[in-house]
Amino acid sequence: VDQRGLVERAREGDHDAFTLLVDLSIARLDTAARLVLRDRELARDAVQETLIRAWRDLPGLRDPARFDAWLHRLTVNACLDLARRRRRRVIEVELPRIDLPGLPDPSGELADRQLLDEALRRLDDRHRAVVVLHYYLGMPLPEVAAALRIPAGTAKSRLHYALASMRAAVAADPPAANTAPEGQLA
Amino acid sequence: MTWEQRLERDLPELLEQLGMGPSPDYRDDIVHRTAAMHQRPAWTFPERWLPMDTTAARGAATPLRPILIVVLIALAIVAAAVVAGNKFRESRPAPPYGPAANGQIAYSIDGDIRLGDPSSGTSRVLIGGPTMDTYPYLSLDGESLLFVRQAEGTPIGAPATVADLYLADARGGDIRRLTGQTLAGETTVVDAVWRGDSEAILLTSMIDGRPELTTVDVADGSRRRVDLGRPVFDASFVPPDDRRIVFRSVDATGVQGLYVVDADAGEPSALTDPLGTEDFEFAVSPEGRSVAYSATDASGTHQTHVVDLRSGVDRILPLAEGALHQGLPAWSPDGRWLLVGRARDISGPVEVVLALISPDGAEPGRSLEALDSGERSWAPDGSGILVVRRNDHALDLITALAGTKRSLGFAPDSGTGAPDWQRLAP
Repeated sequence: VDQRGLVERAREGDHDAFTLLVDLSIARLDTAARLVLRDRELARDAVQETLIRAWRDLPGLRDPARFDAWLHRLTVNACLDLARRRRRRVIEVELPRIDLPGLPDPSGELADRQLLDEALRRLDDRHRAVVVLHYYLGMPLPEVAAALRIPAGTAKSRLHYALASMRAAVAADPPAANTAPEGQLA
Repeated sequence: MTWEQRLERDLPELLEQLGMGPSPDYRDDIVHRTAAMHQRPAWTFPERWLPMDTTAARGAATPLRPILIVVLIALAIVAAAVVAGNKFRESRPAPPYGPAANGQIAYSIDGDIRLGDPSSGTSRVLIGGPTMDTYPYLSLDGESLLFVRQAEGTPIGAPATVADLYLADARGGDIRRLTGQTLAGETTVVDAVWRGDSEAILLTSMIDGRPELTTVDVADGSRRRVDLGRPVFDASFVPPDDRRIVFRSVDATGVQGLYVVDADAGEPSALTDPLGTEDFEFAVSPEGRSVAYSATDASGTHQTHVVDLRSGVDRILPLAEGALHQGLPAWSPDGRWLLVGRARDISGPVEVVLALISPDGAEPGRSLEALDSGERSWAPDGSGILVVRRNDHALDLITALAGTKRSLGFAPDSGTGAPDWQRLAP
C-alpha cells in the first residue's frame, strides 16, 4: 500500500483514502491506547478522538512521510488527556484476554504475557505511557519526552523506574505454569 | 537467562502479543463520523501559506521603480557590512561558560536543521537533503554542531543509536559521522552534553535497560565508559575545568539524589540528602561553584535549593508570597540570576509563572510571564529567555529586563530536540 499517496489524497479531502489509512492504523492505535489506559472504553474514546482530529487537521500536515509519527503523537496526547480526567473518578480496570484463539501459544510465552500483564497493571499511567511509547510504538526516549511534555531526564528515570518495578513484580510473583486469566476485573 | 533479565529484550514482542486482537468494532463509527465532517481548510494552517513558486512568480511580475532599486542597493550594502561584521566575530570561538554574544538558533523541522535569526525572524537551512536530521546540539564555543542523522524516510519515532550521531561545523560543512562504535547491550541514545573545550561529548545511552554515561572523543569518535555503578538520569559537567560531573541518580531503594564524581570515574559522592522518589531538575552554575535544584519537601511543596559544591551547604531559597511551588531552575549566563517556574497548584493543569530570583535568596525576585511552556533557556548574552510554546512549538523570546514577549517567527517540529542558541565571541 502506498501510504504516502493515501495521505496526500486524504489531505486533499478524499475520504476513501482516509478510510484506508484508518484501516491500516486503527488496530495499532487501539492496542497502544489500551496498553496505556488499561481500559477498553477509554481507549476507544482516545482513538476516536485521535482519528477525528486527524481527519480535521490533515491539511495541516506538511510531510506525508510523517503521518505515522504524527498520528502516534495525537494518540498519546488523547490518552493522557483522558487519563488526567480519569483520575477524578474510580473505575474498574478490565484486563484484556490474553488467550486469543488461533495464535501459537507455548506455555512459556503465555506465562510471560501473564507476568507482563500483571507487571504493567501495577504501574501508574505515567510510567506505563513511557513503556508503551518506547517499546510498543518504538519512539526514542527524546521523542517520548517531547510527546509527554517532560524533560528527557524525567523520561529516562520513568523508564528506569518502570523497568525496575516490572522486574521486581516478576521476581515477587513467579509465573503460574500453564494458567491464564480469561479476562477479569481488577 | 531469567525472565527478569529478558524483560527489556522481549518487551516489544510481548507487548505486541499482549495487545494483539481484531480490528476494533468502532471503526465503522469513526469512518461515518468523519465522512460527515469538514476538514480544516489548508489556509488556516499558517505554515502552509504561500508556496514558493507563487511567491517567486509574484516578485518577478512586478516592475521595480528606480527609487526602489536605489533603496535596495543601499540595504544590500548595509546587509553586506553586517554580514562581514558577523563573519569577523564568528572567526573567534566563544568562551565555553559565562556570557557570550547571541548567534543564531538551531532547530529541526521537516528533517532539516535550520538556523533561525532571532532579530529578523527569518531562517535558513543549515543541514538539508533527503536525510532525517534532528536534535541539534551546538558546542559551547559555537563552532560545531552535533546532530542525529537517519536515512531518508525514517519516521521521527525511529530510535536513534550512536551510529546516527553526526558532526558538522557551524556553517553546515565538514559533515561526518561521529561514532559507530556500539557497546554491548546498548540501545537508544538519550542525551548529549558538550564538554567546555568542545573536544568531547558526554553521551547518555540505554545500556542493558539502564541509562549510563560514556564520553566520546570528537576527533576520532572513540568512546570511554564512565562506570558509576548506578543509573544516570541527567548529567552535567562542572565548569570551568570540566573535571567533575554532577548527575541525578537513585540509590538501591529507589530514592533519588544528586551526586558528584570525577569525570574520569571513581566513586561518586552524594551532594544532597536523599530527595525522595519524585523526579527533579538541577543546573550547575556557570562559574562551577553551586548547583541549583528543585525538590519536593515533606509537605508536598516544591522548593528551589542552592548547594555549594565545595562546602556542601544546602540553602532553600524563599518562596514568593502566594506561590506554593518553585522549581525548574536555570542560571543566567553571568550567574547572577536563577530563572524559576512558580505555580500555586500542580495537581491539575499547571499555570507556571516564570520569575527571576537571586541565587543567594537576598532578593524576592520578580515575575516575568505566565505561560504553559515546557522548555526554556537563556539567551547567551543573558538579555532574554527563549521559550517553546506547548501548543504549536513556536518560539517566543521574553526580555529579562522588561518581561515583554515577542514571537520569533519560527518553530521546531515536536520531538526533534530543543532549539539551541549559538554562542559567539562577545
